Amino acid sequence: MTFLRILLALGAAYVGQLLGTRLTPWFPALVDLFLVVVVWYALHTRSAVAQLIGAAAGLLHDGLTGGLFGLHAFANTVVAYGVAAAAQRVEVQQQAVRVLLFAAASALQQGLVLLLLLLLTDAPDAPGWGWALGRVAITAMLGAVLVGIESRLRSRWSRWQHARSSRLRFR
Amino acid sequence: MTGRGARWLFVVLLVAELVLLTRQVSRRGLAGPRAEAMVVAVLGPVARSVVAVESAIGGAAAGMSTRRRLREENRRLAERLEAAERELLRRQGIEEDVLRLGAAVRYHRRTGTAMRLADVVYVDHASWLRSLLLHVGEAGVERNQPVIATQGLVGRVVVAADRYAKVQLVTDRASAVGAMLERTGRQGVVRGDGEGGLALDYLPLQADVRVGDRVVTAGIDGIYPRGIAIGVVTVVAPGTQLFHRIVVAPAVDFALLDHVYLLERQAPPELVEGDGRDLP
Repeated sequence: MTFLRILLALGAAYVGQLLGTRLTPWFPALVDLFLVVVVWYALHTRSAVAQLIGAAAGLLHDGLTGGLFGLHAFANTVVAYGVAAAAQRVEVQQQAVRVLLFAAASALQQGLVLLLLLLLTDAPDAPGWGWALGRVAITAMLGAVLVGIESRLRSRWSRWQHARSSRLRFR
Repeated sequence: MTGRGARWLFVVLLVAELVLLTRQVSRRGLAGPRAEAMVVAVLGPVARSVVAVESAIGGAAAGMSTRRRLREENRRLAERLEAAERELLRRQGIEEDVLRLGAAVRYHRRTGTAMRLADVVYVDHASWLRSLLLHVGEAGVERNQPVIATQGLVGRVVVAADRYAKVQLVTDRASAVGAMLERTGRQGVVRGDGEGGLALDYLPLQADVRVGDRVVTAGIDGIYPRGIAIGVVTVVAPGTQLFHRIVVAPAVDFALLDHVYLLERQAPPELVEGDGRDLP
């Protein structure tokens, strides 16, 4: 079931990335839905699973982008490992911390891709500062939306459970 | 998996990914990574289906409102077709003259390069790592096959994956095309500037270059045939060394790409028969 959910999440990211690019040409420059999936799972699953999701999501992304194949796979694996490690060490129940992790993951991913390009190619392309910051901000925003939805669902779930248990007690 | 196990997996994954990356760098110019071809071959149909569904929904919704616009467009296209036919007649006359003159000096020029249509499945021309994904049909595709649109040069195939292909756009910083100024025949190299534009390099300061000059492929790089429009010179400034700094606006509007044409690879297009001693 978990595997199926992961596949669905990656599939949704792929389709979202395709449709977004059809809607506006600036979408791929500003939005990385694969990274959002990676960070989400890094916050919610074990480090090993998150790393595998990072590598898979990165390869999917590399299939769509130009440049060397494996750039995003490498960067997303590191991001998944880093976020999973941070999630174990830091108190990530706070929404603000989680959103910050999304932003940091985006910055780290872009930095790693640029570093690899600098090391491996003669004439690397680099995103402008504006684009890079925009991408960080949008990733953080998407993270905030996901975290918000999750916390709302959790509170609704706990209210429902509380109501159900109190009804059972009265009987 | 324990913490130590996760760390080992991390190291193994990173090493595997680094090997994948470095193999591409060391084998640049040869076959692309098989893994990438596999990913493109598997996900190409998914991308194509998504685009088809999106187009169908979008088309149905916009169908009624665009009827009037289409009628107007149809009228304009008919006028353009008429003009193009007139131009074709004129150029056919010129071509006949060229062939006749060529026959006199035993100069053979291959004409009528074979082309075939390919659908654009995904185009990312604005982001940092721009790319173009094509559905090329059953005939397949070869690496380095030139890709053009009606306006001009688009790029070349870098990953050939069964019925799908990934294209390196001419605006990619890693792309280099042998080019020349149509007006003077002066040759240089067109490179992507990484920001969606092009730069024409290696034109010496004494070369005659003007804003508005058309830049076309020179046919000297072994990939692109001669005479395909690349763009128009928009800026000419003195460079840092002995060369001009020339900015070229691409002929193709990548945002409007719906389908492109694959040029079939051919032998070098021009040759002179004999040793030329008996030329007039």
